[in-house]
Amino acid sequence: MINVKFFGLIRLSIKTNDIDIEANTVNEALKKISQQYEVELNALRNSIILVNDKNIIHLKMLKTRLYDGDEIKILSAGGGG
Amino acid sequence: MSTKYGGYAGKVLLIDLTTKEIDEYPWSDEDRELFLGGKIMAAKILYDNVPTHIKPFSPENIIAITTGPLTGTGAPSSSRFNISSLSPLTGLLASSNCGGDFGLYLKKAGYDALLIKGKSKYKVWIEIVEENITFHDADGLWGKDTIEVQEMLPERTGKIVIGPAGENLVKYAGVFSGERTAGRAGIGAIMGYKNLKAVVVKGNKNIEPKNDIKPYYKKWIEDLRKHPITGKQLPKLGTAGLVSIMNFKKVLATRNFKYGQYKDFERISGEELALKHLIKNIGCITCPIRCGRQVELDGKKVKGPELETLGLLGANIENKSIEKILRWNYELDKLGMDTISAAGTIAFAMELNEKGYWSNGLEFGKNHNLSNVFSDIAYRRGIGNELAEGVKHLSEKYGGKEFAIHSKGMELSAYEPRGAVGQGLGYAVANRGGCHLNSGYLVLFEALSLSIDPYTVRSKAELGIMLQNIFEVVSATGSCIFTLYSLIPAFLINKPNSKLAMLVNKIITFPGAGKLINIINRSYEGVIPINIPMIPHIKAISLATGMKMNFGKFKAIGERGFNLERIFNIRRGLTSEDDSLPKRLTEEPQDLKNPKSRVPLNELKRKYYISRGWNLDGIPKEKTLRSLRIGRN
Repeated sequence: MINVKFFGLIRLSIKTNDIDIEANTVNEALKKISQQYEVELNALRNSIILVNDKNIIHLKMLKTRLYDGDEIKILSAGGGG
Repeated sequence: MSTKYGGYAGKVLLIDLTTKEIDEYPWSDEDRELFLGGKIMAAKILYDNVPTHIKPFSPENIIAITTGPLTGTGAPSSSRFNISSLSPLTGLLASSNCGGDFGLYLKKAGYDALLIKGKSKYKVWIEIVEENITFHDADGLWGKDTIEVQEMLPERTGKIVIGPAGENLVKYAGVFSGERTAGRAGIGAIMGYKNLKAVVVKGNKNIEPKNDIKPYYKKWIEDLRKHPITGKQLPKLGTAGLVSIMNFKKVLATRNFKYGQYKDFERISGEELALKHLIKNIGCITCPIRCGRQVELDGKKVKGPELETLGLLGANIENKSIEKILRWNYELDKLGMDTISAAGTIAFAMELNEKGYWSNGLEFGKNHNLSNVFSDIAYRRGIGNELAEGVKHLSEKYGGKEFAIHSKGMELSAYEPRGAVGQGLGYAVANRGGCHLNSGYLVLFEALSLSIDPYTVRSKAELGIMLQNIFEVVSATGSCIFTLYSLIPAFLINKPNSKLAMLVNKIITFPGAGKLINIINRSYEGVIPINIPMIPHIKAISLATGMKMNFGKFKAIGERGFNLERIFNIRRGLTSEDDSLPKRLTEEPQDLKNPKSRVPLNELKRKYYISRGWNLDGIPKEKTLRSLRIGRN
């Protein structure tokens, strides 16, 4: 099982914090989330995505493999303070 | 004094509280061209009129309340005002900026700026209705909190007030207007010292732009609404929305800046605020962004906390209750204090207590009594009397300088700079002290909206200078700094994983990029006579005032303002030693496995001074000042 948490604007639209899904890659995980929670797949793909606190741009992007117990954090980018 | 330029009221009011004399301060069109308005105008006026070696608490100190030429012309997010003075916290020039509607009201009363000198023998509030200025006895208002006192003052007016903290000369007392604050640097205490409780303004004068600027403003507002930050992020999550990203990027100051991440960050995040406590978002007059939070507290609708308050009264003191932060934010507002400095001082006091340097009863993670502590600070009771002096003072008395988190005497805001070293440089060189905005706000590029390498020194000085100059002049127009999000194209924010975004992030810190940025920084104002759509203020100034304005001139005004503040401070005795950060941030890596996770300040400063056209002691060179047409005396 992969644990997924949401942050930023995406959290406001999904309204859930914490879900568990089965997926072998980040791309697969995003597709499942998109279907289950009616979120645009593109919006997910264009978020900042961390796997075990590492940004996927430093891993293998959407092809990053996932293993049981991994944690994904999905955050819509922003700024302002 | 009239002006050929649109956007200005054409008058600067000078009030002497000692004699109660009213005068007009001479301010020419040449001054307007060189200094524009806002904080730069204030810096020039204070530079010319505040005697070099006086103490902040003295009648010769001047409070300069200044507006910009866009205020009152209908520009989006343009009702802000600036208030400057000698700071009791730092002893240096400090400017503080505030939203709300006071700036607009001051212009409509017929004034671009209000200067207040002297000291009233009795407690007073000033009422300005166009040319009619009345001094009222403030005995019945003294002691009232910032919300109460505004309710007692005339309705449908612009107001600035102080609370008990300002009355009792708390070093970080703020100036309050509506639900907004000119929080930093203790200018509320200067008002308190002068026995000035409030200034109330009203008028019906129109501010005429030189040209028909409505179509331009309409487009500007549309662009603000379309941009992901000003159109979505800020309205929906407020500045509070930054907590999560700051935690991920290790720039969320935790436990008096010991760490950059907080395990309970979700509990104090913008998402938590929006989902559990937000009633609606609110904004300043003229603003389409509307970043303010209205929350419910004890059955009342009150203003909710900004990011700084969540971070510093959350992670930085290891408090995971957002409900407490809502309450403390409201209390600090009522008492009239800067939440950043108050919270930073509490965190430092907690560590002093933990290490046995000062037994004050304050502990990380245990905070049930903080409401009482804040009240004690405002009324200078018990340990509150010492806490009211700020971190620098406490470190000089009790020790712990290595973890006294301030620069130039002003406490740092919530961004932990060992996760974004450019921000660290900015904190150290910002003219008013540990300010994240006056610093150039490099953390935006290093962690928040972009992801340039946060640990490299490459390009940081040069980019920091460019941003500092731009922030300076945009502030001087009367605009809210959030309108500068236009600097970051939407596609970079909407597609952070794209090849283009990754390329942009890499290019900015590529070897040689800094030199290119600096060529732009150091170019004379005539060299870049172009408009830049990413900075809509440039054309807005042209249209509103009738001044010839382009990027070259615009950035030169900002550079002029920054250097003017610098030479003011040098005249007060500032040296390069004051461009400092505590050793915790420069010598202890945030992450022991990453030796680069600390601020290499000496190296950054050196590059910064050279790039600014200063000598290695941090003093602007004569030719730099000459090219900016500011002298030194």
